[in-house]
Amino acid sequence: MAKDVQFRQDGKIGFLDFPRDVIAQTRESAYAAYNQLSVSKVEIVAMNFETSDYLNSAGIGLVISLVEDANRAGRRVFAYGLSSHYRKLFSMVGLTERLSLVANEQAMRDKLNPPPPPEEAKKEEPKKEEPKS
Amino acid sequence: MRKYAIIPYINTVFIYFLGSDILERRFQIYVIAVFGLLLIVALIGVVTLFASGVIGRTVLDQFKVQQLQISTSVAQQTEAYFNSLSFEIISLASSPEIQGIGTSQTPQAIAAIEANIERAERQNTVNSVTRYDFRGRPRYAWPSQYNDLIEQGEAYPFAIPPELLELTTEGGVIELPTQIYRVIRSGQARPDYLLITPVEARTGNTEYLVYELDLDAIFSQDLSLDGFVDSESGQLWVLDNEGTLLYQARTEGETISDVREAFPATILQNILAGGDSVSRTYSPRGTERIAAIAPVQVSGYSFILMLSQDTDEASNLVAGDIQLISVMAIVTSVLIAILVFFGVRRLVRETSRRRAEASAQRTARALLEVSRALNSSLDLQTVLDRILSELQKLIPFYSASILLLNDRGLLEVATHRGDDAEAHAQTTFLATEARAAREVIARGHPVIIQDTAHDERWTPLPGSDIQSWMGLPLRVFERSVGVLNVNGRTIDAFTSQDVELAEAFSDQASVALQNARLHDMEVKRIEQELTVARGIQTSLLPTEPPKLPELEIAFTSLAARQVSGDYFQILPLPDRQLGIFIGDVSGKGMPAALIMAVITTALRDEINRHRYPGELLNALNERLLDRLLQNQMNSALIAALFDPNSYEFTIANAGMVQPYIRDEEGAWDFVDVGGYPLGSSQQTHYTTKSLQLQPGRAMVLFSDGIVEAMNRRGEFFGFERLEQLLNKIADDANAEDILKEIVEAVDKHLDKEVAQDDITVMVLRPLQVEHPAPSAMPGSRLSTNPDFPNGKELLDEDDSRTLIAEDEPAKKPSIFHHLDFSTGTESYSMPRQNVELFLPSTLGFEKVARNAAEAIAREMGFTEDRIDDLKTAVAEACMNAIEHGNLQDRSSAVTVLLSAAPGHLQIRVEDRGRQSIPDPLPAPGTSAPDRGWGLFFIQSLMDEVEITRLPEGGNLVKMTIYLGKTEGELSESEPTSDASEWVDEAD
Repeated sequence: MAKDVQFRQDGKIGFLDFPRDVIAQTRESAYAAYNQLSVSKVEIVAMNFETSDYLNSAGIGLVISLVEDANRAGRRVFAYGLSSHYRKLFSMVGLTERLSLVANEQAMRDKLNPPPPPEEAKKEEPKKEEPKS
Repeated sequence: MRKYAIIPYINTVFIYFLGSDILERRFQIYVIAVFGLLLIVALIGVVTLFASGVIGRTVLDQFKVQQLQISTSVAQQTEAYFNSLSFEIISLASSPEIQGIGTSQTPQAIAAIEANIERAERQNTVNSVTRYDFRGRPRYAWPSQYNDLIEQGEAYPFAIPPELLELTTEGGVIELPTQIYRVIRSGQARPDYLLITPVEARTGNTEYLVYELDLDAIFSQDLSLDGFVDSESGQLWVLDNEGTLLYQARTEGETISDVREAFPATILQNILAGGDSVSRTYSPRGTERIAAIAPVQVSGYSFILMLSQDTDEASNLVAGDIQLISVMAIVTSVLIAILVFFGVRRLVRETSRRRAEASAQRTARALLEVSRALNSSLDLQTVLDRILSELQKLIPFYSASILLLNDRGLLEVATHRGDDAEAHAQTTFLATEARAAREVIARGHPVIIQDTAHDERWTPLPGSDIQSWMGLPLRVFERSVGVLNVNGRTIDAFTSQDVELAEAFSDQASVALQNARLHDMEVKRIEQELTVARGIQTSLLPTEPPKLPELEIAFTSLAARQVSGDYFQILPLPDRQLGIFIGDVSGKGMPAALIMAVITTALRDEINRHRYPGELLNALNERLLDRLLQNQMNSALIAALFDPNSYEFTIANAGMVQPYIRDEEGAWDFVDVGGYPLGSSQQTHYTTKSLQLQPGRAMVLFSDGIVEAMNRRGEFFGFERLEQLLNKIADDANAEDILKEIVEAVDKHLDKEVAQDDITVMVLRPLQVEHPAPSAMPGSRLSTNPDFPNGKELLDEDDSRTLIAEDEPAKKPSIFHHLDFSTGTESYSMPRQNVELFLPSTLGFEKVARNAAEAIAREMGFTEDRIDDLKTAVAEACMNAIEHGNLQDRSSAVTVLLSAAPGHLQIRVEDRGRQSIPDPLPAPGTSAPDRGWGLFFIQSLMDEVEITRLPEGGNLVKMTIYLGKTEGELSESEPTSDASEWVDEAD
């Protein structure tokens, strides 16, 4: 099982796939992956925590650093795959102010490209629109 | 005064001339060589003297011969002279002038005599010539004064000896020899010597012609006998046959009287009687002389010729030869000496070189042996003792010791060897003491003191008679940590070779010491790890069997190492059922213990969902497969579910030894149930086997350590022995007895041999209950415990009570607590249950505490959210302790105490305080956006947090989490989250 952060790109989205343990030792591979992301000039950073089941304070600090850097570069950051506990921790440290927490990748894509609402739905909920960031 | 102060000077001389060193053994060879040379020279001298003596004696003998030859030569010359003289006188006597008689013829006769004398030039040697008639009356004489005496009728000085006159008569012609006669003139002491020859006178008578001889003139002038004496000490005498001295060649020097004393008269008489010449030495007045005596037979008369000379003359004759011989001897001696010297020198050097090579080889071999000996043990004290014992084989010492620096920088005696133990009673030396040893440590090089009495660095030890000292540094990781003291009882006890050897030895000793220390550190580290692992294991294993009326349980677990790979659990389940488990993790020690902790946690979790053994093992295999494969480990596990209501055992087996059961007849047989160990394969499916064991029967579960217990003869205990043993056990034996029989039998089989594998045995023996409760135990009632609203309470035999969940809550695990009620009130009190962990200060081990906390919290009934909070807080506290409090020093443990008490769980995390937790705590993200969140989480997630700096220097983080508190009861600043509440905060 991979211990490093992997980078992959899908168009303007750069994915950072975090490993099972997100700890201090993850830092090096995380920055390496993030640098690829910068080189690729992606606009969206998607942090995938679906396989992660342990994030300690060093790992969360690492996420904070990456998010702050991405924000400074004008990139939008999503995080998904987190358990409720870690969503709580992200919220505690203020990360939820800087990124969008979503349930999974599809939720992220839906958020970026919302499917056209069905006609009925449009009729019933004409005012519910995607909030602008 | 130093006793051997001269040795360095001698040494210098030897080094200068021979390139040798007195301190080395070859010095002895040089001394032997020098003595050998002296002996050779002495022998040559003796030989020379001997040769000189021989030569001297030879020369003396030759000198004697020479003297005899001279005397013979003189005699011959003298005889020739007198023969000639006799011929002259005979010729003259035959002349007509002499034969004629008558007065008229006298003048012609005298003239003939005179002419004859003159012609023969006998004027100086023949004093007179006289013609006698047959009556002995002189007729005429020459020279004239003698003739005048005749003519005047005066008395004539000489007369014909009477014996001749008796022979001559008138008219008688007789044959008379011509010979010399000794006559003594009347009135004179000195004899005269007359050469008388017969004359045939014309008268017909035999008459006489007589020469009066001047012998002294003859010897000195005509014969020139002094010419035979060619040295200052030489002398020559001529004696007549009466011993009267006739002639002495030199007026000075040796006198005839000395010779007379030296030679008895018999010798002269013998010579005169016709004996041979003799030669002999004599010593007049302390001077050795040699004399030769020879007879001279002339004209019927015998003279004695004597030659004498100092033997020194003979020595002088050969002095040159002896000198030459001596010079040659000296030259030969010198040459031989030089040859011997260089030969010995070469021999010495070659011997020294070979000895040096041999010594180097011996040293290398010795050091190799030392190295082997020193490194044959890793026990520090054994190594220290062995250093001294091995050193003594190389360098004979009076005593030796090892001083090591302790934590306070003081030198301590670690070991000592020698007869002066009393002088080494002091075991610790202050910084001001043992200055010489301190110098060794400071310099990192050896220090040699050859005379302790005159070296101010030396601090005398009371009662010690150490005269010389050698200090060698002992280094560990290039740092001097101690001193190897080598003590001598005499001054200059250590040679340069000893020092060189000792230095090499100290290097070897340092390596051994370093290895021993490393080993010591490693052993301590391992012991600490094992202690931690043992703590983990102990906390996870039951300490005593649960008490169930329908089942008697006895168990034991013996670890082959400090930490066992075997594990077992007995978990009470709903409906008074019991889950019984024995497992065996592959491997031993810390890895096995950690895996065991993981499996135990998983087991306790999964049994809440999968009570039946087959399902349970399938779930565990699926859950643990990745982790076990990742660690290349697996675990055997047998799971049994006991239903007290029906006495039914449901069994599934993942690779453990098949259990044995006793049937109604008392016979034991194994239960055929098996499967692969957990973590072997994803495809594994475990099946179950059910069997009823009514009271009176029994079942034994055990790990393979029982049957694989091997004695020193290589024999396994084996199934056969086990079956034989079980079948011998009495039918009414209780579980404890059966267990005891098995353990004792295995122990006896091992016969003091250490078991190679862990041994775990569990004996299950169903019991008959008088009033079995089909659905609940007597006295059970619904629990009033708010944590277990659906539980019921069982009253055990010892008044302890067990809370059992009636129905498995959907989200809340069914928890069993063995609780003691201290009062009879409705409220219960649970005694504090402590689990203590000792974590190595290595990041990653915080997960062990995290898992342990999770297991306990889950057991206590905390919600999943709170368990998550607890896990994060515990992990962060442990990480801080490992990373900051202990600076990741593996030798320092982090102590985690998990204290479960009624209604709350308290966690204490304690470190060594290498870094203190700042007070007050800085706000998170202050120093850097990604730092400082750990303590923030702890404080935010736990209900109570107390951070304390301990008096002994460590940090203590004490956290408490309360049961019953929910997310909503957390402080308002703490955000809540729920999977259903997705908030896009950033948008």
